[in-house]
Amino acid sequence: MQAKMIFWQALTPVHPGTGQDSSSVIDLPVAREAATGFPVIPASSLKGVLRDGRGLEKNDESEEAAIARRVFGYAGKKKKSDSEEEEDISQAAELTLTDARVLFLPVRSYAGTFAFLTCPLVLERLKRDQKALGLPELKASIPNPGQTDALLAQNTQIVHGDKVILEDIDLSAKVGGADALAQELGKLVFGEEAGYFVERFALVSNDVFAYFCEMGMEIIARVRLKSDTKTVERGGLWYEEAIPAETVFSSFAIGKSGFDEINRPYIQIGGQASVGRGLLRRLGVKYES
Amino acid sequence: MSLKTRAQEDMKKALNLVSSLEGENEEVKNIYGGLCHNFPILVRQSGLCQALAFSADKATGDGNRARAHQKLLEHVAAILGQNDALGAVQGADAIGYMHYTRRVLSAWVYFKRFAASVLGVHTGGHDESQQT
Repeated sequence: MQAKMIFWQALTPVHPGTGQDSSSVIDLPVAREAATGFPVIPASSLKGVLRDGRGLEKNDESEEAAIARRVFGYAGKKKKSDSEEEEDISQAAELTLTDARVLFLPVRSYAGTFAFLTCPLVLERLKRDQKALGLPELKASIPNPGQTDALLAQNTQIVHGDKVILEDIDLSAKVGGADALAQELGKLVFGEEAGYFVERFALVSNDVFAYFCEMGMEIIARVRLKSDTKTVERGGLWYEEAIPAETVFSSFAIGKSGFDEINRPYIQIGGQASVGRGLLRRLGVKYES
Repeated sequence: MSLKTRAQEDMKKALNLVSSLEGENEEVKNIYGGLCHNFPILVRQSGLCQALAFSADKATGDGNRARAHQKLLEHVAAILGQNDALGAVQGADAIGYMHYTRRVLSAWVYFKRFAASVLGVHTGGHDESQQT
């Protein structure tokens, strides 16, 4: 068994929904981790999208279907070719996918347009997971910013005066305070595009990050109109939450083979596909099977 | 004295506060009920300060709309355990501000629900079936 690390970046807002959630003031909130409240894309959503419906028809005997069943698993029966009896052709998946957890959250910044926020908790968890799965760990130290600090790369673009101004939270800018970390993460996740990330990178406290994970999501109003009067129906106004474009997620694939199945330039997750929502691009290296 | 959860306290407080609107005229109830649905969205989109400032602006005067916004501000203060919502938020530091934001959003779930069930105001308008 081996593990591979996968990074996804939202190209458009993503709505990994949970159905109607009575615990939220938003009618259709995004899925969140129970312990942290951070947005998450469930592994089941990733798996379904990557499978793309292949191999689910039991009579499909194509090679593509066979590969999909082997990689993603299958549960079902099929008639034997030489009799009317059915045989169980179920098989366990060779590839295991984990939830995609938020790694960098874009937040509007007074300078530099937006900042890529992360926090020690997110990075420590990533490092822990890398170690547990036998992957190379982050080498740079993870500093611990104060509650009102933002640790930045040396070549930062998000400082105005001596502040990082994020929505309605002003943080004290510590230029160069996390330069090694920003450089390493930029190379790991974005490769040749690291510059675009590094100049916007900000390491903030866990509490500030958690606040923006709650407050930084997009809110989209939807209405349903009466056909005759074109006015809003009773109960026909609702709000959907979406994870904003530019957000970066990390996840893992674990297995013996089938890793080439995740080598897609982009995937589409969640609803409203016809208006371009839910597009995620794959970042990082390509994997052989 | 038995221990109660914050959710129990929030629900009880919300039910009492929303029910207090039953004695108001229909227009005040409708406006307030609509605010129960829309206020947390304004907080999420613009921040607690702007949401409260907007309501404070509308709360001036003697009309039904002013009355509804006055009630909203009173109820936000009750959630925060303060006499004056604007004063409390203005006086808080950044961490306190974040805490107040979360408290309002967490408790407001119940205001949304009771606006619909007690006052008969749903998103998109008043529930006419509850009119007598």
